[in-house]
Amino acid sequence: MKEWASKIKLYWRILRASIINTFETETAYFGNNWGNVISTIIYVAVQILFINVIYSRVNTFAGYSKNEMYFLFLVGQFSFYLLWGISETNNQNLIKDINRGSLDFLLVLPVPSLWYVTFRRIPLLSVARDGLPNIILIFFLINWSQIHIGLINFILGAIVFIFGQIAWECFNFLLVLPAFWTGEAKQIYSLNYSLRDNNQIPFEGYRPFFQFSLSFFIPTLLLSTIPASIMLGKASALYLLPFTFFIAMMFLIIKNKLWNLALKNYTSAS
Amino acid sequence: MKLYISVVKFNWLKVLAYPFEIIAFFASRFFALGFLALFWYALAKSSGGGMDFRPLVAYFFIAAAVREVTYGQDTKFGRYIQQLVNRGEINNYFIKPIKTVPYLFFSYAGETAMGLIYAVTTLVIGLVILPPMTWFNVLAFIIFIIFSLIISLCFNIIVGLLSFYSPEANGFRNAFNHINKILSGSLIPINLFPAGIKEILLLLPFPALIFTPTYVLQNQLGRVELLQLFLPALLWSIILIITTRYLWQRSVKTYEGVGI
Repeated sequence: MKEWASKIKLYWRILRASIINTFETETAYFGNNWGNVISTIIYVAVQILFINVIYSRVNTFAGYSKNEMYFLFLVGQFSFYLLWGISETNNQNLIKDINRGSLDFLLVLPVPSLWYVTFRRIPLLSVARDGLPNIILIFFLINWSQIHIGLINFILGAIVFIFGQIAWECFNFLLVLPAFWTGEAKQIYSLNYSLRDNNQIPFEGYRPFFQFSLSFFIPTLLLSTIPASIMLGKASALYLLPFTFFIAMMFLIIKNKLWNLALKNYTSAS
Repeated sequence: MKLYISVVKFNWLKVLAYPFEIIAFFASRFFALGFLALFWYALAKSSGGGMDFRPLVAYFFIAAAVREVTYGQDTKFGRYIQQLVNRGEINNYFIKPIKTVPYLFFSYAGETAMGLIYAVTTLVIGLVILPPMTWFNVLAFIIFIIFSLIISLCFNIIVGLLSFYSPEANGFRNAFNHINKILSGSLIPINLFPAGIKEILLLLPFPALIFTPTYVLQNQLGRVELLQLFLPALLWSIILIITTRYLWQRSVKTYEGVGI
């Protein structure tokens, strides 16, 4: 018990140090902060314009009304900022560390290495600065009286959402690992940008083959499309909840196993 | 020119050192195109016959080729310049007896040469799905590609110049990219916009980056329509060349390289 408590304490201390250190770096470039705020607001404006142009041509898209599409967009943005805050910078830094050999310095630190490389930087300020205005803007854009979200569906959808983020974070991490063998994984990692850029298509718009393969092998539909569909009462959580739980656990195990395997194959720079 | 060809070759060889990266590059691009095709397929189905899937998919395949050849999206060449300035590596280029901008451009072109192979592939697929109507379309396509390259390079250089004034200029670059994505026709063809908005958009420099070259290859063009597309592209090319030249010279004067 005492051992567990000290372990948790250590993990928390790493997280706290990561958050503070990242905050200090983020506040160093004041002008760029404004650039980022402008950028994200423009992004939302572009997406809203996109949805409006689409709905000037159709009444419903794969059974989704314009309001439901905004809701899907909201869940997609929430997922994006959550994962971007946790994994994006850390994964990119890990690729650089392997490529330049600076991973050696991390591996000799007296901290759990997988935990450390996963949560080395937590850019809370960037996430709040870029994510909050967007999410608030989309939230107020939705006509909530026109969409029906039950409490049970919402809770089940939220649980599926959490499993989805875990699965996708692990999948992203797997895209970094080839760097241990090839020395570089920038392009391999960039696959995740293409693969996750699909939250404009509702879950019901995919054929069953794509619904399965883009959930099981590449868990991209778990990010926002499936949770949004469950929350809106369109897809049943009865089957999807245990399914996403299984996928999240499967990817967590694969991540751990492959990390150990990659470390064994790491030849280091020195 | 011999020097620049050597620069392209040298940087291309650096890329070849990581063959898995090349495979991943193609996989990433084709996945993105696949999702785009899926999106428009689902949308065409939802429109109940109001939208034709074939020309839309052909449009996005050809647009992908144009984007790749002209660096018309994401201002990655601009980011390349920004990184060189931020790390102080641009000093190496300033002290050499070469023209900096062409040298940087050909270095970048070498590093991204696999984009050309991808561009040829998507162009061929696009042409198979929807072949051009006449040889005139092909000729117009070549002319508009040149305009697209000029405008794109100017935008990239202007975005790159921001780093002379602010060490972290990613936010402004991203803001520009988002605007560019929708106004250039990369996300949605300009002709799907309501008529009034479409006419205003066509006066801007952005459609000349992706929409115009793609559109002239796929559609029958009247004289008036051709002029409506040609004149803004020509004018913006001239304006942007002059502006970029002026801004580059001005920005370089403000640069304080470490160690100089």
